[in-house]
Amino acid sequence: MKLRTAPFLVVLALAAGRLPAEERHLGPHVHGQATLQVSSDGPALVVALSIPGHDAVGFEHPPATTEQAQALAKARETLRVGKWLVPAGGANCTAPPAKVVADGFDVNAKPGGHADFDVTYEFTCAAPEKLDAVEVGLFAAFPALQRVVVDIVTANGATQQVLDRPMTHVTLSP
Amino acid sequence: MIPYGDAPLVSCRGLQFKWPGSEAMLSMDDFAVAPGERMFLCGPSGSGKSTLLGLLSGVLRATHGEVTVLGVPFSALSASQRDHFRAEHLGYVFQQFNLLPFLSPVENVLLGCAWSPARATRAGTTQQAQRAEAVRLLDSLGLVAQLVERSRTGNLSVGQQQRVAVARALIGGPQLLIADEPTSALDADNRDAFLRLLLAECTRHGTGVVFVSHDMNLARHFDRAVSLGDRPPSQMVA
Amino acid sequence: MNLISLALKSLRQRRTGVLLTVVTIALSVFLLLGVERVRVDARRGFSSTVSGTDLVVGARSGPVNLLLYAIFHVGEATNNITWKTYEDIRAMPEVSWTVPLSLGDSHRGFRVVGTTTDFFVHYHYGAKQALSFTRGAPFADLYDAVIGAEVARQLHYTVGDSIVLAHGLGGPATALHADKPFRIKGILAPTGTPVDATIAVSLEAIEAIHVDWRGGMRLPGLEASAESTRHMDLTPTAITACLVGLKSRLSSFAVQRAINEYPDEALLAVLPGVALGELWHLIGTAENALRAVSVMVVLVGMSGMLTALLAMLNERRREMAILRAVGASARTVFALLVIESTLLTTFGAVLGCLLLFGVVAIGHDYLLANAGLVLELAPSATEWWLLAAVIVLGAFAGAIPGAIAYRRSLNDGLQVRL
Repeated sequence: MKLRTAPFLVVLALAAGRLPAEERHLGPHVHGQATLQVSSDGPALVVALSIPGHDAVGFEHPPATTEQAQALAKARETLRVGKWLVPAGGANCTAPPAKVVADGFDVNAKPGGHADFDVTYEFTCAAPEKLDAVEVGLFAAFPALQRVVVDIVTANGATQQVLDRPMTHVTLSP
Repeated sequence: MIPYGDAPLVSCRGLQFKWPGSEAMLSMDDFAVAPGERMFLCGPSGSGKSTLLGLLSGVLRATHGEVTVLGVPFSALSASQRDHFRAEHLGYVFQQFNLLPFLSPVENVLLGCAWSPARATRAGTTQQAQRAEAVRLLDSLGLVAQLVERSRTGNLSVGQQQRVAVARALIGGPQLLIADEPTSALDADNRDAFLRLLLAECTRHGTGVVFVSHDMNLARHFDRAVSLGDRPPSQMVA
Repeated sequence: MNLISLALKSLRQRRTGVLLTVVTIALSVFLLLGVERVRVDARRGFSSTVSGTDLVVGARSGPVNLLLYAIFHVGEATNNITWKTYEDIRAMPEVSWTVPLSLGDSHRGFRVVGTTTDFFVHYHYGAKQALSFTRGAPFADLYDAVIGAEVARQLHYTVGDSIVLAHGLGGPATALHADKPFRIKGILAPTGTPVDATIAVSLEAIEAIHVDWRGGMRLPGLEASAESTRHMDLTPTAITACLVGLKSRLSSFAVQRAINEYPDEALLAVLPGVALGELWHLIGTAENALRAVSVMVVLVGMSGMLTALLAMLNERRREMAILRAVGASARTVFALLVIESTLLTTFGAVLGCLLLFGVVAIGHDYLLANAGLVLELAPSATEWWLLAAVIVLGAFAGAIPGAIAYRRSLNDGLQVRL
C-alpha cells in the first residue's frame, strides 16, 4: 500500500491534541474570548455575538450588589444598541436594536455555573456589494475582553479570523 | 583647459607627508619636473620613494605643502577629482604584477583609458581603433601581435608583462608616466632593451617621466637624476 | 570596459570558488522558494477542494480531523453516522441538498468512496466548478464505478474495464471482494483535488459487497452471489460523513448548531473554510519554523559567499591597486565588490529558480498522486519578492568586503602591503 498520508503526519500530530471546538451545548466558554458569527446573503447581514459574563460585566452569577445590577444593565444596553458593530460605511446597513439573552444571571441560575450574553443583530444593507468589512469595537466596549474569534460565511465561502486586542477590522471580501 | 607648456609638469613646494601612526616623515622643499622631461629618482629603500609617487599620482594627500601637476594644485581637488585627474593625465607602472590576470594583454592595455574618455578618444574614436592602438603600442614595445592576441596574460614572461604595463600607462598619451622600479624584476639585458623602448615611446608622445630605481646604472638614460635620502635631495645632471 | 564585465571576468578567473558559492546560494534559494511554493499551493489546493459545500457533517471528533478524513482521506478514521441521522439532516427545512460519503474500502492504494450520483452534481471544486467526465457517465448499475483522472492515468484503466475492490486499505494479506467485480462506467476530468485519486461507487454497492461480511471476514456458508445480492434490501445502515448544501448562507450557523446539538447521536458539523482556517492555524507554527529555517539557510549561503569574497580579498589587493593606478576611485573599488556579490547572488537565485522548476516539473505527478498536492510551475508574486529580497541582501552583503577594500585602497595608496 502506498503511504499516502506521509506528508500530513505533521498536521495529524498537531491535530490529534485538539478538542472539538464546535460543541455548542457543552459550550466553549473561555474567559477573555468572545465568539462572533457573521453571515451575509444578498442584502441580509446577520451577526451573532456570544460573550462570557466574566468579560462583559466581571462576574457570572446573579447580581448581588447595586453596582453589579448596574453593570449588568449597562452591559445589556451596550449590547442591545450595538454601537460597537459598524459594517462598512458604503454598504449602508441598518439594524433594529437587538434582543439580548443573558444566560446564567437569573436568580434561579445554577450556582457556580457559567454565564454569558448572546445577541444577534440583523442588518439590511442597501448596497451589499460594498460590504467588504465590519469594524468590531468590542475591545473598547468591554475592557476585560482579550480575543474575539470571528467565523464568517459569505458568498466567498467560510473563513475564520481572530481578533486580538486591540484589533477591530474584520475583512469580509477575500 | 589646463594651462601647461611653460609651467612645470610637476612642482612640489614645502611638501610634507606623514603616514598615520608613524614617525617617519617625507619632506621635500622643492621638486620639479619640466614638460616632457625624463627624471631619474633614486634612493635607498625606506627613503620614501613610493610615498612620493603616491603623492604625485594624487592617491595620497600631502600633510603640508602642495603638489602641482600641469598647473593644477592637488589640494584644490577632491579625492575623486584627483582620481579623475590621474586617469586623464598619468600613466603608472608598478614594480611587478602589473596586469589583471583575467584580462587579455590587449584588455589590460585598454584598462589604461577605461576611466578617461579623453584618453580613450585620443587612443581611437571607435573600440576597434582603440584595440588597434593597443596592439600598435604593444608592437612598438616589442611584443608581436600573435603573441598578444593569443596568449593568456598569465603565460607572459615578466619582461613581456612589464611591456604590457608600459603600453597601458602610455595609451591615449598621458602627460606624465610614473614608474616604480619597473626593471627590478628584469635581468640586465632585458632591462636596457626595455628601458630604451619605454623612453622612446615616451619621447614619441611627449610624455614626461618620473622613474624610480635604486639601480644608479640606469641614470644615464635620463635627462636628470635626483637622489632621495636623509640629506636634502641633490640634483645631478647626467 | 564597464564594471560589470570587469567583475564577470574577475569571477570567471576564480571559477571553482565562485561556482561553489553560486551552488550554495542556489540551493538556499531553492529551499526558500520551495517551502513557499508548497505552502501556498497546498493552501490553495485545500481551499479549492470544497468550494460550494456549506457544511461537512460527521460523527463528533475534531473539525480538522473530520475535514481531513472525509474530504482529503487522510488521518484517523472518524466514527460512522447512522442512515437515520443522515435522513434527518436531509429533511431539515434549511437544507437544500446532501451528499453522503462512505469510506473504508480501497483499490490498489486508491480510496473507494460510496456515494450517490448527487456527488457529481453538487460536489464543486476550485472556483465553484462542477465535476465533468472525460469519458463515460455516472454509475447507474449496482456494480458500476467511476474513477478519478489520476486512477485512470496510473493504472491505465478505461471505460469498460473490470476491477476488484479490496476490503479496508489493502495490503499484502488483504481480503478482496473478488466475488463482486465492478465495471468502470466513467472517468472524471482532472481536478487537482483528492477526487482525482478516488473511485466512486454507489452506497448500495458498498452495502452489497459487505452483505455477507461480519467482523471483517466473509461468513462461510452464507456467501451471497453478485446476482442474488441485487434482490436484497441494500439501504445503507451507516455512512462516514455527508456534504450539506443550504438554501441560505444565513442559516449556516443555526444549522451547524442544530446538528451539533442533535440529541440522538454525537455529531459534528463544520464550516469547511473555518476548519481549514483552524488547520492553517495549527500548521502555521510548523510552516513558520520551515520558513525560518529556509531563511536561515539563505543567510548561511550569504555568509558562505561573504567568506569566499573576504578570503579572496587579500589576494586581490594587487588587482585593486592596479585599478586605482589607472584612475578608478576608491568608490569604484567598493562598487566592484558590491557588483560581484550581486552577480553571485543573482546567478545563485536564477540557478535556484531553475532547480525548483526542474524539481516541480519532475515531481508534479508524484505529488499529485501521493499527496494530492498540485504545484504550480511558475513562481508566484511572493516568490518574486523573495527573490528580489535575496538579491538585495546579496548586494548589501557585498558592502562588507567593499568597505574593507575601500578603506584599504585609501590607506595603501598604490603600494601593496602584503
